[in-house]
Amino acid sequence: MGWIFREEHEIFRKSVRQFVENEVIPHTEEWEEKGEIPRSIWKRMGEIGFLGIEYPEEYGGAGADFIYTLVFMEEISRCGAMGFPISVSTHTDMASPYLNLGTEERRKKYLPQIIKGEKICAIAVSEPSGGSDVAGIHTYAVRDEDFYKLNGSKIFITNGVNADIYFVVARVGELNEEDRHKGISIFIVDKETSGLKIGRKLDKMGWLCSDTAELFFEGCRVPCKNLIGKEGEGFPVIMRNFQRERLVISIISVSASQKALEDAINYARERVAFERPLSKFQVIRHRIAEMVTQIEAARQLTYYVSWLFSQGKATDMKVSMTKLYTTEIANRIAYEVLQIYGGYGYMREFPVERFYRDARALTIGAGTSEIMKEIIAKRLEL
Amino acid sequence: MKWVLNPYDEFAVEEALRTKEQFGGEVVLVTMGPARCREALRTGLAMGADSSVHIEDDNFAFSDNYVVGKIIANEIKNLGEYDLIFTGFKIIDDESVQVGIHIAEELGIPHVALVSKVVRIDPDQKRVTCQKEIDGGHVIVDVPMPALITCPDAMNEPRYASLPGIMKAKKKPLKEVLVDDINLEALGLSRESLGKDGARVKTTSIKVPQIERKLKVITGKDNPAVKGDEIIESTHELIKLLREEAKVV
Repeated sequence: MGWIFREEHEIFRKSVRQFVENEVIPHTEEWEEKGEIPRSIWKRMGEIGFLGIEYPEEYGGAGADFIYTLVFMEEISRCGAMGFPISVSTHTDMASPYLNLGTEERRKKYLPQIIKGEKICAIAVSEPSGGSDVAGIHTYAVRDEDFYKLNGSKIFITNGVNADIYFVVARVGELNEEDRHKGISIFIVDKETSGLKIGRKLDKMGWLCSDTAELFFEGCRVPCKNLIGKEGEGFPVIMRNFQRERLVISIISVSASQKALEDAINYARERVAFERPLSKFQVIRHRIAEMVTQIEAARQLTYYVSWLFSQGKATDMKVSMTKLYTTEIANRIAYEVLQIYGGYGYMREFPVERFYRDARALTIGAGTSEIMKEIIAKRLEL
Repeated sequence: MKWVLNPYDEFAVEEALRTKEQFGGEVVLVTMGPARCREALRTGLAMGADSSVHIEDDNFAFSDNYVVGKIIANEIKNLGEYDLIFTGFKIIDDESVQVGIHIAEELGIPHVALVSKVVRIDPDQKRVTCQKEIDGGHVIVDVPMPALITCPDAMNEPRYASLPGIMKAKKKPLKEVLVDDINLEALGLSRESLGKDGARVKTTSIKVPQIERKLKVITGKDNPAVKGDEIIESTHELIKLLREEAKVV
């Protein structure tokens, strides 16, 4: 069970694993081809309580802690198509938690639908001009009586095409060079809001079953009550939720890598070359031994920081270290496991080919490795 | 090794929960086994059962079906009134199929084994109608309640333990029963009749069947190293083997 998981976490793990085996894995090929996951799977997850893990019971959640989220993310990341955990975690951990800082009235309106999987969430931060520099975004909001008018555009928005609720980051007022963070605000934008245009579904290298879109705001009229927190003070809120987002990406990285490595080990045991299984060649044995060690180190770091996070004690430096290490390791492992498969690994029909493509986005999304290093360097006061 | 709940018992839990959803009432889980069974009980509680009884004592380890049936029946009696008991039709570790039937016998109630479908429950008349599959058809059995039903493969599709269910299960009662809590004499048992040593049925050995490899390769003409005479020789050998060993020609 390990130091971090209790009996009930393991019962939960079993439920999620059964769900993934019965209701996700048989459909991943189809979803990858279609470039999206169906509404029905969201509703199903809602029924079993997977979409409201940490939300209070009064909204239909389970009131559980982050360790359950860790278990959930670990298990859904073993489905063989990373787009699935990416899409789901965007809904549960990257977008909807902003409601925790919204008004009670907004929570009552949105959370039950989100937890039931009736409405899907997206978070819109990145823009064509940049994603990492949140304080430098160009989308702006102007107050107009009981509304804000939003103008600008967003790009690389996960669940962008199929979402019903967008959490949109926009600047209110002019950019203040003295204090660039000032003015950053977060708005809840319903899909049907006039002035919101959903652009094309973007064609990606990996994460194919999660739909990604461009969004355009042209005088998009958002009611004032849809402002989250205080006007102009959204920046620290976003930075705080980035910690959750990055930790979830770390969990996905470790778990998907673990699955890919398990598959590669099985392959190395079966595949015979020069009259011996690949697993009997020292070069392969040592490569596998190295990878198992790297994943173990990555996992323990992720567990430790997840535990800190569940206690409210994870610093952004620790989270950045975790995201940096786990996503870089995932890419190294993607390269190495594909090499074990040789030519077969390059073929679409082998899951490792997808893992290789899927892993690539991990060091980019939710803050690039370069940004992670900057955060760490800043905290070291270099 | 990863221990799991006996899959047939899982069908029993699901069937009990469905019955409760239809008619109301309460589902109580009863099991006998070591500490690791607690996870199975918690899973059942998370699926929706109301409470559980765990008969956990090393003295019971490897008891025979007769003893297990008696002890479990006794705990069921202690629970008070009941209408239906669901058990798996067998256990997958030693393939024994008697515990459920022993319980019914002990309680003096009818049992219907291998029920593929509960057709009807009449709470007023206190009767339950069950369907059993037989070769080329099925049998409908109608018995008075309380009754015991044993559950075969694919009787239903057990639900997942939902997360809210798991959270609620933490607060549900899990009663633990030790050997000292049971009046063995009243049940016609003694300490000596418990466990492996007291078992009336002795397992003398468990073996993994040895599968004999029957493939024989005779080098033939695809091998460039084999010359003309040798091909004839290997053909002769093949015919000989087919005749003498395989006895097919």
